[in-house]
Amino acid sequence: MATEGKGDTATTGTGSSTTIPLHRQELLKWQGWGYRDSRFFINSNGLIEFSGSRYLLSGHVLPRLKDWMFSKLNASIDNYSPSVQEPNPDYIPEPILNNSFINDFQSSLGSTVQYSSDMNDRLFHGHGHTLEEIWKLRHGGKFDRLPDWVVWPRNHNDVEKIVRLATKHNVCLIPFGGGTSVTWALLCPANEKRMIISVDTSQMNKILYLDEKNLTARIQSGIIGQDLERELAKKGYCTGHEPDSMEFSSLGGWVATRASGMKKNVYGNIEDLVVHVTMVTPKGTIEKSCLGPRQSIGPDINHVIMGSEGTLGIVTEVTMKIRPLPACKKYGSIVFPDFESGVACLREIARLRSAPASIRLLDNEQFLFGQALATDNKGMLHSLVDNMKKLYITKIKGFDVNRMCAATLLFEGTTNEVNQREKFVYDIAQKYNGMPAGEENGLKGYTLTFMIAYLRDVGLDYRIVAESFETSVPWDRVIDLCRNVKKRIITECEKNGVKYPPFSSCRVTQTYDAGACVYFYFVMNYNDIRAGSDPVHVYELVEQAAREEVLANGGSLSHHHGVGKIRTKWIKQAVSDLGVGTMKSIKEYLDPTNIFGSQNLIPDSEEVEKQHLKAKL
Amino acid sequence: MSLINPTEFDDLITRHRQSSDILWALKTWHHPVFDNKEQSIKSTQLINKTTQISSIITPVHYKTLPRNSEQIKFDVLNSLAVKHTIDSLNIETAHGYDQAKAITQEMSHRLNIRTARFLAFIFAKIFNQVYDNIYIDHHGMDLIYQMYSLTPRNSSPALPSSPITISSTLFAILNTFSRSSSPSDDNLSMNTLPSPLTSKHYLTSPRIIYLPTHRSYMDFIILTYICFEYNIPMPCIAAAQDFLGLGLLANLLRNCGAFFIRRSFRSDLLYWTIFDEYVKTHVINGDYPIEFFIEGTRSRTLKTLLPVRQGMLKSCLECYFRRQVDNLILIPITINYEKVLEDNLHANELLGVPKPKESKGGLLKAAQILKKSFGKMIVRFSEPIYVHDAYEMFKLNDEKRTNDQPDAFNRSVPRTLQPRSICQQDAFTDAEQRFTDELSYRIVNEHQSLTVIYPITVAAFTFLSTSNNRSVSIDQLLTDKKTLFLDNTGVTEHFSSHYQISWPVENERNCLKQRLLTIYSDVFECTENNHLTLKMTGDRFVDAALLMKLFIYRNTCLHLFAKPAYILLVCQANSQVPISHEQLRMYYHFLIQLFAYEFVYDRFPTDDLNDKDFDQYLSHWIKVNYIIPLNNSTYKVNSQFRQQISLITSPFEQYARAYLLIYEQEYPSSETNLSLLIKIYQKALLSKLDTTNLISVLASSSNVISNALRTLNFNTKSKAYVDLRHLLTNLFQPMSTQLRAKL
Repeated sequence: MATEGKGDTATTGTGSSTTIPLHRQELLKWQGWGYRDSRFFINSNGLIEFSGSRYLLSGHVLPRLKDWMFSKLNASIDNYSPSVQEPNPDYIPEPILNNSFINDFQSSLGSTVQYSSDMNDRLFHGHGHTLEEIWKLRHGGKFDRLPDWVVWPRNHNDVEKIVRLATKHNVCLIPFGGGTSVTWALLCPANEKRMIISVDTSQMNKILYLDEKNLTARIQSGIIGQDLERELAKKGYCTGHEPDSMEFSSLGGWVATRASGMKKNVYGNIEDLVVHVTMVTPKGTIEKSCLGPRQSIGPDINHVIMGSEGTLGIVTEVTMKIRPLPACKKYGSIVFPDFESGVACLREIARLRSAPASIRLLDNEQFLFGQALATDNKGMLHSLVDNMKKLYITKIKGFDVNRMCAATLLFEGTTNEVNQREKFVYDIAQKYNGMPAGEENGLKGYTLTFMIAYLRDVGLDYRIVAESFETSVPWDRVIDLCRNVKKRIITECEKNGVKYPPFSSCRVTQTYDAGACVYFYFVMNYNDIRAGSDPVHVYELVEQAAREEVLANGGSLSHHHGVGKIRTKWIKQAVSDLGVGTMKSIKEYLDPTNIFGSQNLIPDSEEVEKQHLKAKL
Repeated sequence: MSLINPTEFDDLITRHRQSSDILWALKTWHHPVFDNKEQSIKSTQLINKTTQISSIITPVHYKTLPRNSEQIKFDVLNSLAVKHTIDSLNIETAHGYDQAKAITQEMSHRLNIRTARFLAFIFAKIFNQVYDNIYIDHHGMDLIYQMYSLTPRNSSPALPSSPITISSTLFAILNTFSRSSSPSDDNLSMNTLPSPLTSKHYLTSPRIIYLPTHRSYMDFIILTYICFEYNIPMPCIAAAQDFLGLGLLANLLRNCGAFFIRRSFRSDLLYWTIFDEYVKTHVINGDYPIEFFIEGTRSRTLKTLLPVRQGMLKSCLECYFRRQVDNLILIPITINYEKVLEDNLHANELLGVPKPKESKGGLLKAAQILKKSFGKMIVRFSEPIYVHDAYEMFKLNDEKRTNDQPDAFNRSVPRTLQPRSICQQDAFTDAEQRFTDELSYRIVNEHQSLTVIYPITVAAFTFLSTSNNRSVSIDQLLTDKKTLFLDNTGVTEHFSSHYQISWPVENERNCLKQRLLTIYSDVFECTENNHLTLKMTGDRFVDAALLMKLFIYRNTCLHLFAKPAYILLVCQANSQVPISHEQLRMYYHFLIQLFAYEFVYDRFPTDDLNDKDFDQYLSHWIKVNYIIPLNNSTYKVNSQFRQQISLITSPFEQYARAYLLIYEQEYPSSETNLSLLIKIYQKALLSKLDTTNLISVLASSSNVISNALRTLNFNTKSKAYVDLRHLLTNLFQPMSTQLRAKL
């Protein structure tokens, strides 16, 4: 769910190795997350089951999940609120067409570059995956503005030509990679009167070459995470970049949003992985001329490109570090008596710089939720063992079920390294009263990552809305921030007339030398909400209050989701007026006519500010 | 305005007189938040292990809460803030820690339930003796119960909240010795509200800060007493170090939660750090609520004081600004005494007799007092102020007010960049400082709005309305009460609709007379025809003190009249000629500014630049016919109501004239220290003291002198001095010349 992307690929749509088809809606849900065939549903036995065959959970029944939903969130089977089956054609605005551009495009590129003005393609390219967007889709897809055209360039040259034409005819371009944005970055500005073209990079999905001497690869930016890893693995390599959205998000999107991967402790975040990047801007192509590993030549141009969120140009090709596939991969888990001990332990591990590839600390709410996601009972013995374990932890070790929490671990490296590191981590954990809780629980924890987004859709079916957001924060504020934000969510819900207590939970997902990344989940049942309130509006108020609380607690505006349009109102506060001014002047130089007019990142003009002020007053 | 309605209050005295004090003192008492915590033996070991690893993340683990005083001291001494200060002061570390240890030793409270029980017993005896009633506002109490997620008590006021039986007492005794055993007959069972806020572990106790008014020594005891009575956590009370002179009693207070801080220590960084950390550790960990007096000192004048000492409040607020807590709950409490325990002392102190040193001897002498009756005590709670909400509101308003661009070269370091564990004296940003000012003003104003008016206030009004009014009939009191509190509710309620009147049975003359005579036997005596007469002795200073006492009792309600009365006052002072609207307004604002230190208004004096209030007051006076509007927008007082008008304006006229008198004194320009300056003025004024002239008495009050001088803003004195004097003389021209002749 983390990233949004853009990119380009080689020849036509023959690529047998690509997962994503040209018309995404053929494979993916148009009104929800992920594959069409994979979803949670209540089966004939009245239990929640996950369909399809793509995931570990596929075809399994989750016997405790429904009870959890109904008892914790007060959901009920009677409050069924399914999504519409097809988008409502009346809701799709008439496209604004720039005929001189179209003529020019058709005469020069029309034969090689595919394009579409089909309603379903346009709709798919006009949104990301925030709750507001999904909500609109589930109610027929009434967006103020949608892309008027979608084009599928195949390579860098195609992109150059498209951008040149767009500049010539003053057409607005919005790059589209995986479509997994959660920052409204893909929403078309309602006040955009020019023709809007969504540049879908999914056909730029080739690994151009591997450089095995330098351990780098030149890759087209449209490749999505799972394809990239699969193709590299065939040759014995990996990038190690695994954001939670890696099934769908693209390399270009990672670069454009400064993505972060789960295993960054070993492989690094995207900014550590990128050696070289090429971007096409309205003024031309920008790139460095050297592959040297570190350079002191003024502010790093790569860093101007990274995090530009589609406002400066389209990333077309990236040279990225690759690593040999690890010999050993091992999951693990630790239970702690409480969240405070867990954070203290993570901090100690970070202090000693001995973190495994990934370490995540779930709070008590999520720990209990994880229990609810257990699959069908695997027989008497298994549950007996489970019960024994539970008794041991609660009765003998004195853990309180309503306080305990768990960390999930992933070790990677040579067998020796992994074993050593594992022992080391467990030894530290023991000092903080943590107890190893087995490999299986760790593995379960990580598979859950891919399920979370699917879970939201089943929640929505039963009038439950959910969203996640993230931040990064210095170590000394982690506990206070987690507690305060969780509490703020609850109090805001109460203030706004939400009748049932919300699920408000967090987890620490990354550790750094100087701080950590914290992920929050907020789930709210909007049944019997105060009369006259709009659930999405209430939800927005709560989310806004939560973000304000994050900022007041010293958390960052975003760790890896980006700013998009959902958080521009805070960017001045985050990087100062001068910081925004600097970004603005780069934008004005590279894109003077605002061809890349997605209006992400930088609050566009005084107009937007005034609107925001009005909204605030 | 309304009469005190006894059903809104619990009467502790009535309750206690019906049951045994000793059993009450030994009743079951336990902490609503922490006592319910399950702690198995194994988990206690776990805690000990955790605390041994001094983790940077969690210096205090929730399982060790509530801490005892030794643990608190330990936490303070080992805090990073104290370490940082010792390092930065360049004192030798070991020596620095010795100093720090001595300071915490001197400061620390030793709150424990055993002493609290002991004192509860003693004071139950004393209170039953000296007070007729102690009324506790039970709506306020219910709100506090809600904060602790306790079931609100729906007991009728006449019944004790929990029946005190032998078995519950035995249980309590057992409990005293083994605190950890959890009582089975827990009558304060946790309410099972659906909200996770009440049931979820990570949300610990509410961070409550009690902010009572400070009129008497009694204030130190009363809240703890109430908390004990109602089974809610007892607060830690900030007290001035002068009280250490009390010896054994200071220790008793310590054991009841008082901690002692020096009067001024801003320059002593180490002391300041320890103080700051000591307060913060209580707020952050929330194991005890905090109580302090925002006015900073006992108000000798019984008037609400401007909150100038913000140290305590700032330390508490900083925990919020740093987000070490997510919210703070401030509860202003107004304690209304019918007769203040030490009103004699107050009156004398104002006249320059120095405050007797806090000592045991003094206390024994004070014990004589306990033979008298002190009437009623009414404790009222304001609606709690949630700091988070208040700050959000403030930021919204602030955005509207200041629209200018911040100076890019003069940034104030935002909270998110400041180190959290280091104690910085000037860490408050501009906005935070303004918020603190506004908040503290709001708190004292909340205090004022819950004033209770007792008969003595009306009596003082009547006696002081004209000079030489030494004898007054009861009927006159009733007439004046009507004028003051019934006829003009239109303006007084504009200030606050929450003040209440405590009056012995409505219009019952005998009752009223009897009450005034018994409670204030040192002030009044009865003469024939139902007349009350002041007990004047003829001794200049004794009489002055007696008058001063009347002045201070009158002060308790002046804030209700201040702003509207300014309009009347101006019209009245210019009764010969009609006054123009423009001039009236000018003088109105002038008086507001002049008395900015004297009275606490409903909002910041500087914020009151619009004329909404002014127009409202003026139209009220016109409506009741006190002021007659003439043509071309000029105004005149209605001579028919001369008596009523002068009753209402008399206090303000007296204050204005007292100011004038002070400003007319020889001005010793060499002196720059305010407190010394006050002494010089007071000496000069006392030498001319004339008890037949009320203004002379009032002007001799150290408080009035100090306020008058502070109004001059005594640095930029000379110009302001001339201006003020000019305006004041203008206003009171004719009479002030007479006055001068008199002197």
